[in-house]
Amino acid sequence: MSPVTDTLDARYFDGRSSRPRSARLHVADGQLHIAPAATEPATFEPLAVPIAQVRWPERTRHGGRLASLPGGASVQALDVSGWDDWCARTLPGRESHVVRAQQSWRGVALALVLLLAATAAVYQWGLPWIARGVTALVPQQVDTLIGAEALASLDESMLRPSALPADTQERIRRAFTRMVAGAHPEGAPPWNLQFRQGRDDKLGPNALALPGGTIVLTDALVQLLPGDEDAVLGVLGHEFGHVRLRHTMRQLVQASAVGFAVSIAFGDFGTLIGTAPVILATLGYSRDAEREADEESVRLMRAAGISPRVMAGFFEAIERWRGDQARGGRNDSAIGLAFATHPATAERIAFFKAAAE
Amino acid sequence: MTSAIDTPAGPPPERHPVGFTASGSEYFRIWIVNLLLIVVTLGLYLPWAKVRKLQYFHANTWVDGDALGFHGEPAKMLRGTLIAAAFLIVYSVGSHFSGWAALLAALAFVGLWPALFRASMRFRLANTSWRGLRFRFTGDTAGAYGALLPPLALALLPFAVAGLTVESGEGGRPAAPSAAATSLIGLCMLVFVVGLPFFLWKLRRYQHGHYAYGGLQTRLDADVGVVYGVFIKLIGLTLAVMVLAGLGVGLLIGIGAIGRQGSGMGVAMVATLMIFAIGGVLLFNILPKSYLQVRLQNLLWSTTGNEVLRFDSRLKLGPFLRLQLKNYLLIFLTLGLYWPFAVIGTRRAQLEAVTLETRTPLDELTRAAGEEDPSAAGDMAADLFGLDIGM
Repeated sequence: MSPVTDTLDARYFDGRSSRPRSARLHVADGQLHIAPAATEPATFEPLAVPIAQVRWPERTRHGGRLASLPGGASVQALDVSGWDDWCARTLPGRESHVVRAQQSWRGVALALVLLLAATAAVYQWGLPWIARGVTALVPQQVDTLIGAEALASLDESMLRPSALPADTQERIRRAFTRMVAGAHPEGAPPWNLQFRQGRDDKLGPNALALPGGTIVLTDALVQLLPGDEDAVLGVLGHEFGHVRLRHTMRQLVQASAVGFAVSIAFGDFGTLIGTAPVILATLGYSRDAEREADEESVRLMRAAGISPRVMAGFFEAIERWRGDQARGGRNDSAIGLAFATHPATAERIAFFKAAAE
Repeated sequence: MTSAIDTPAGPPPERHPVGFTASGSEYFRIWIVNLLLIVVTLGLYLPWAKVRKLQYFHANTWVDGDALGFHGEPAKMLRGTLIAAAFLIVYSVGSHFSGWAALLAALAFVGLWPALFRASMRFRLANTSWRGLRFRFTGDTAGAYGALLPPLALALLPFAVAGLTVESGEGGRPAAPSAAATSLIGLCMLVFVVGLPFFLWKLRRYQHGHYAYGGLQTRLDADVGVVYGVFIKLIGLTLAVMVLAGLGVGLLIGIGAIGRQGSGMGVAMVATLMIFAIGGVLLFNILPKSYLQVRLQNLLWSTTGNEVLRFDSRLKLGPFLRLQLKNYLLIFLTLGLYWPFAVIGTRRAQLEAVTLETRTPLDELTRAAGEEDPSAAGDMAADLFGLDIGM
């Protein structure tokens, strides 16, 4: 062995025994040569492995170095910093960008910024896009089934039959049918309107869109603005937006995807810390869904020749009702929930007013 | 109560403490770069990220001057990732569909899980080396089903069956679950809860009884009674702490009543709420989890081994509990950025509590005949399902 050769002392394991052998490494002709250390009697046959077939360890600040050879043999570093220096000299340019990035704080800071940007982009566009695609794959009957189950359980817990006169119900239903047909002459997804009232005052003026096209309207909402059924139609238009865009199904997909992503990022320490981002993301997506439904409501009202301005009056009436409830000292947990998922009322009033211009 | 591994008379064993040299800041850097690559590849980078993480952890786990090695190949693991992801999507979406779909999904889950678990163990061990020799997992499929099928079936199937009876309510109008279904769920839950320590013990015996290195295979000598003891003590501990917490709350309310005359009620309220929140998390999450982790690790690893090689684990509850408190607090305060430091700190505490005791020269172990290269499919699958193989 000529003295100019750049060698490295290491430990060689043949993969069949746990006995380490002192070895000397050097690189020549694109091959890694492993020979018994000169100071000892030869304990194994010298061998050569093409550089490309060696799985080299990545450079880290801590930890040992182990290069795997084909067939289960391996070479391990005696002196880690000596190993790294030797690799840099004899195998220049082999280190990946990934290793270089994770070994420099500047690279990591850049990665963190890019990570935040990429996460924001996936959250804003990627995930909704995927969720729309997945939702499109789910047959409509699934929505119908879930919706029927949801209505049945609501009927058992929170709702009772409507007390509105049949002709009022019929008038609203007909007006809404005309409205949907006007905005979607090419045909609209199926929907059906159900009149109900809450079992107690908590539910108040409210409307719900269930998967599969069922829209539940409470009597209190119809009575909130007596004689002004345009606002009721606006609310129905909003709920129809949820139906048309299959928001429930999409949110189901989005929530599972966020939960999945969080569990990948934070593998351990899961349950407790993992739930917060999922809840936050779901709330954010709900607000987006409400905005989309408001846009659909405006489209339907325009098609029916109703000014979106009526919705401003409706929200003011809702605010008055909330104020009354609060003064009455009634439990406002249901309202708190609505606050969290809906965009601020002022923002929505402004949106409908702007749409009326 | 703990039955130690039989040790033949002779010279005292050589003790090799396990060392862990990974650093939180370095793992933080690896984690951030990995996450970025996972996000921009929409998850396809997952196996590469996982291999890098495992290689880092293994290369920093030292026993008698030699670090472990990890040899899994990401390209092979990608296929497993895709299979598992498809399965997971079908399962999670399917279980929202209808009663029949949920039952089918649950059946598939229960039926496949033990096989996946075994595949995962085999892959992980076959790709872990120490002193140039690969480990092996020798458990068979029947053993995996024997250990995992009963608890999985008890936990998942009753709900699926009950969902089916709701589905088939009359006239398409779903009814409430029948009394029979409710009592079935109740009975299964009861058997599951009472049997939990037994199921855990069976699973761990399956795992710890089939680790092999060279010609040596381990076994687990812990009795099921000792595992029950750990759980019973946990219940007692939780009750005691709850009584103490109740006294503390009473005291706080008393002080609050006295302080009511003074000003600064808002601050006092916020402080009280904070104390309640932290106390609640400590009481119902960190304390029981840490207690179980510490006691079970010590029990299970100290009774794992064979005639010439055994482990001894002496993880201390107090320091471990303080470490977890610090971890949760800092993860919360840094919005998650402390997570890699917490993982490394926990791993260090767990690993450095373990000592390997040997009565055989470590140089003279040889590879057992007939080693194979198990498929990578199982490993990523198990990982995506959040399965912790408890190594």
